[in-house]
This record gives sequence, structure tokens and C-alpha cells, in this order.
Amino acid sequence: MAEKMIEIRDLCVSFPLDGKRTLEAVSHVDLSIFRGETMGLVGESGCGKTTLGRAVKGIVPISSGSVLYRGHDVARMSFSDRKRFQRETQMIFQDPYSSLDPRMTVREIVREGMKAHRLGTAREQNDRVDSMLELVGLNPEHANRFPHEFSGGQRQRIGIARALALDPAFIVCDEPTSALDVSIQAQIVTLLKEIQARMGLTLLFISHDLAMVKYVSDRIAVMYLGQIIELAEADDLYDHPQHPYTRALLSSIQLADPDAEARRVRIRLQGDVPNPIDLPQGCRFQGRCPNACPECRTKEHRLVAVSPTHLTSCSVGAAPL
Amino acid sequence: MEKLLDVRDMHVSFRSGKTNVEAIRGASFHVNEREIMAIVGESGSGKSVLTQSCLRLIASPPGQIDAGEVWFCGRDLMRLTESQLQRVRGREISVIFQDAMTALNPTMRIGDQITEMLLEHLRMTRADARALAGEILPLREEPDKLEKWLQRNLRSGGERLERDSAELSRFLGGNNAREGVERWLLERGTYSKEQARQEAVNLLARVKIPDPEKRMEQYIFQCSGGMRQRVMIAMALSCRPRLVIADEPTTALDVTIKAEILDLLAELIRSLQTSIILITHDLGTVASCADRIGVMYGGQFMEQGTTRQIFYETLHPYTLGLMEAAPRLDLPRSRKLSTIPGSPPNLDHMPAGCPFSTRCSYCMAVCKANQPPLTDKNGHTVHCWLYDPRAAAQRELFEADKEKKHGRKND
Repeated sequence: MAEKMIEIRDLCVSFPLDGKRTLEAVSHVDLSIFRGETMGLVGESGCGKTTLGRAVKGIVPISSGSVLYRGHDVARMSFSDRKRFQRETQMIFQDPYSSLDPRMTVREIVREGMKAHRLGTAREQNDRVDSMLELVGLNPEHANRFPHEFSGGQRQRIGIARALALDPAFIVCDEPTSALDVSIQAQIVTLLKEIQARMGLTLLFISHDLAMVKYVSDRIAVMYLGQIIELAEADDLYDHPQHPYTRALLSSIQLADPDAEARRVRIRLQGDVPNPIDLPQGCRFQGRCPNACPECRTKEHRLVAVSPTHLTSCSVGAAPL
Repeated sequence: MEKLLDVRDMHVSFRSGKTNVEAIRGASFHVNEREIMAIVGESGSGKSVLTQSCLRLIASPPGQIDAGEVWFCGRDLMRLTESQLQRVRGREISVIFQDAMTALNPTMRIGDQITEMLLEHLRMTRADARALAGEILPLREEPDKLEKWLQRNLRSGGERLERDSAELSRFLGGNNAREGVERWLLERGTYSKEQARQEAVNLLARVKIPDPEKRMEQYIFQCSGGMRQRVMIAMALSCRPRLVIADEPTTALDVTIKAEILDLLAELIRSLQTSIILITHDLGTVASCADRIGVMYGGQFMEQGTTRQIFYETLHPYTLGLMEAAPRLDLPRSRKLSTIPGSPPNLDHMPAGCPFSTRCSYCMAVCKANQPPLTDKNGHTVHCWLYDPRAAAQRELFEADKEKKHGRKND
């Protein structure tokens, strides 16, 4: 099996609220991401997918558990190893408007990381900026322009160029397409896939767009209220969803095809997502679950394997439909 | 079918500095009675500007409606006075905005906001009283019909209905009936404050908000995204409008909530026999619920037709491109996404010809220089040069690509 690029072990991230209470945004997550694969991470807003992505990159403090990069615990790395980790893991953000400093030129933006890590001479850095811009489909002659002179799709390309400039091995893509128009989304995703193939990148692709995630990912993890509730290979997840939440989620995707839409049967969930500050006892999904049984109200479920590559946290809902 | 709204050849522009940017460049469409008309387009295509212009809601300056007619129930809304139009807005045509957080007042309780709106919109003016008196007088001899009328138009009921009937019959019997009824209507008004409040609670219950009494006392920031959108829908439907303009009502929501809100909207629209213009950038949103679809690009309609025509008999290359660009769950993952190259046109530098010509793979010389003509095939309209008899060869290419797409779908 391929090398484990990232290994997340029993990771928790909580945010203090008001002295006594805390909000546990990520709760006991275990996840491994192998070299060269794209791991999709889906869930509705507030489920903790962005926080998990940020915790992996090390920009959100971890409450307990650990993140291992190529087998080394990030929290216990030496200064130089940590520097290497920071260089080799990069991030692409959701909002191409707020993630680029409006007062810096494109050249400064893309070059900043190389400067911080003291990679090469000024001349080499500038050459690399040009080649990165070319790689993402921008004209290097525009490097001296400011972000506001570019469209949303072009800005997202700048963000990608910035992430690639340090020759990373692993990139966290936090909803890289959700702020873009449909026709531009396809361009950006195609670009990411091409670059991944060319540079052998490992990606953590966070999104709420289930169709997009299916398209880009090799494996997919579904999150609900801070926990991973199902993990499977992309096609397997969509063809044989096990967890009732995953089923409901998949059944609510609207298809751009009137005939397929007419055949779609939506599983309706009752109520809203519970308040993450005041979580229900037992399974976090039990209040909305159509198959909830008494056991679900008391016992918290852990991920169990239904096949070597398919894990789900629900033993009740996994019964045949 | 009856046309409820008929928008003809709208032109809207915005002044910025010395330049005049044309945001809407000759757009025509109509909405039939009791139908869901979807307007699909990417950001900057002009879909919001077009619908807001229909109610003259764009800020002016810098916005300016240069030309166009908007016929609604026998009136051209473009020629109404501001106060006449104000009576149409919210009452006969209402709007649901994308973001309830910015559309509603954050410092006012939800209940107060709905109540205030009901009292304002259903306030009785002298003109209303005159019009309503005209409806009452012919019913003078038919108490049954009069009661029904009171229930429907003045939301009268129970004890109130008895009192209303008694008072009315006194005026109707008098010798200056018309004047008496008018005065009575003005004094009575449509709603008392308590009635409006009760109606607000009913409205919240109608959009399936649990515990509506409690919600009345809350502020909009205390609601989840789905609840906020429900409040918006309740407000938009409160005056039983004939037409609702829903501007990306589900874009900010999660998938499960999105599906729920759309179902709710469609259900209410059907039960109230209202029409709706559904503005969206997502073809998935419209596939299930829309009756007809208009695809906008660069301030113009590229193609308009029934939902089936748009999806299965696509005529415009842009529409086909949009459908091919979105990843699909029902197709194998190995399928490569086809992308539309380039980016949407800058409204400052629009091509002289077809706005899509710069990105179109079937572009011909004529497309760049001349505006494409309108082709109408059984109500399925398209603005494209491909349907000119002289473009037969190019059109065959397009048909072949379309065939490939549909063939793949059937695999």
C-alpha cells in the first residue's frame, strides 16, 4: 500500500465559548490520506470540515489527538522538520476575494512563500513565479497587476499558483470552487486534476458539492457534527451508502436532468442540525434519523468496517434497505 | 395560456464614471399564469438586474432603464407613477431575496417585521375604498356572496363577520350607498393590529416553522439559514401576490435544506395559484420544478423554452456547455468535464455580435460582427446564427456533439 501522507489519530478541536462551555468542532476523528490520492471531505455547513482541514495544516490548534505527516507527529517535530512540513503542505482557500492581499501584486503574492522559506535567489524566485502563472493558465505579463484586476476564476488560479510555488506534496483545498460560476468551476477542477497528475500531489478536497466531490475524489469521508460518519471509495459511497445521513444527503442532490429528477426519491430528514454546543446523547444523528432505535439514544457509535474499504459509524442503518 | 407578466425588449444600463455599461441588452420574456419560470445564468449575466428592473427596484442613478415595457395585468409597470408602483410591489409582485440576513431588519423582531408589513401593504387607501365599494355595491341583493366577499377581501370572520354584515347592510340600505360604503371601508381598514399579528403567526405556521409564537419574538440572527428563508417566503406570500420573484432563494443553503425549501416554495405556489420567477445559476435546481426556462448570458436571453426543450432539445451552444460543465452524479466519474473556455464577458467591452461568440466553439465570422437573429420553434426560442440556413455545415457539427452527449447519457 502507498505511503501514508497524512495520518489523523483521534483528533479533537474545540473552541472555548464563555469560560465554562466549549464547542467541539472536530470530535475524535481518525483518517489516513495516502500518497497521490484525493480524499474528499463532505458535509453540511457547520459540520467541522473546514476546521478539520485547517487542523491538518496546523493553522488551528489541536485540543487532543495528533496529526502525522509522513509518519512524524507534527506537534513534536523539530524546528527544521516543521519548517519542511509547512513548505510541503499548502492550502487553497474558498473565497478568492478575501484570500489574496489586495495591496500586493500577483508577483508578490506568489513569491511570498518562497521568500519566507528563502528558496533560491530573487531571480530564480521571479522565474518560478512566471512559470507557475503559466502553469495555472495566467499570462506572466500580468504578474505586476493587483488582485482586483482579475475575475473570480483568475483569482482562484492565483491562489493555486501561490500554493504550487513551494513545490508542495500535500494540498488542502477548502471549497476551491464554491465561490465560482459553473463554467469556471469546471476549469478550476480540471486544472487541479491536471496539476495533481503532473506533480504527483496528494489532495484533501473539502466541499459541500457532492457531485463535484464525487468527480474529483478517490475516497470520500462524510462528516456530521464534527465526526466522520462514513468513509468509502467514491463510487462505492454513492452506489452503496450505508449511513442513513449519507443516504439522505445523496438523495437530496438535485440532478440537472428532468427525467432523472422525476425518478429521484428524496429521504426527508426531520428537523434541523442540532446545536453543536448542546449535543444530543448517544449518536449525534439520532434526533433526525428515520431508523433510530433505543440503543442509538445512549450509545455513541464508532466507525466499523462493512468491507475492507468501507467504514460507517452506523450499525442500525446499515441494515439492507 | 394567459400571460401574467410580459416583458418586452428591456434595455438597462449603469453609468460608471464617463462610461455607460449596458447590463441588459434587449431582453424579452413572459410568465404565464400559475407557472414557474426559471431564469438561469452565471453571475453578471443580468438575471437579477432584469427582474429588479421590472419593478424599477434598481438604484437610479447609477442604473437607468433605457427602454422596454413590462405588462402586468393590463398595465405597463414602466409607465406607472412611483406611488402606483409602490402598491404593486410586495402586494401583487413580491420578492424573495437570497440572503435574509441582509434583506430583513436585524434589529426588529420577526413578528413585528411581518406585522408592520401586513399593515402597510393592506392599508386601506381612498383609492382602494373606492375600488372595493364598486365591488360591494353589485352584491347588495346577495347576502351569501357578500359574506364570501368579506371573508376573502377583508379577512372578516366569526363575530367580526356578523358585525361587518350588519354595518354594511345599514349603509347599503341608505340613500347615498356608495359614499357610505366608502367611508365605512376607510374607517374599518383591512386589519387591526391584533389581526395582523394573528395573521403573521398563521403565515409562519404555513411555512412550517415550528413553534411560530416563539419565533415571532425572536430576531433573524437567531434563526438558522433554512428558517430565515422560510421567514422570507412567509413575508413574500403574505399579501397573496400574483407573482413572486425568487432571486437565488436556495443558493446559500445546504443540500438537504435546499431541497426542503424548494419543495415548500413549489407547494405554496401551487396552493396559492401564484406564478414565480425563479432566478438561479444552478441547472439542478430548476430541472425538477420549473415549467419553462430562460438561459441568460451577457444581458440577453440565449434560449427560452419548456424545461424538457431546454434539457433534451438544447438549441444553444452555451446551454449545452453549461450542462456539460457541471459534474453529474448519474454519469461515470471517468467522464472528462468539458469546460467552457474563457470567462464571462466584461460588460464594458461587449463583442459587437453575439455575447457568447468569444467562448463559443461553433463561432463563425458572422457571430462576431452581427447580433444573432431570433429563431422560434414551437415557442422554443433561440438567439443563434447556427439556425440560419447558410450555417448548415456548422450546425451539423453542433448536432453531432449534442448527439454524443445524449448518447452518453443513455449508456
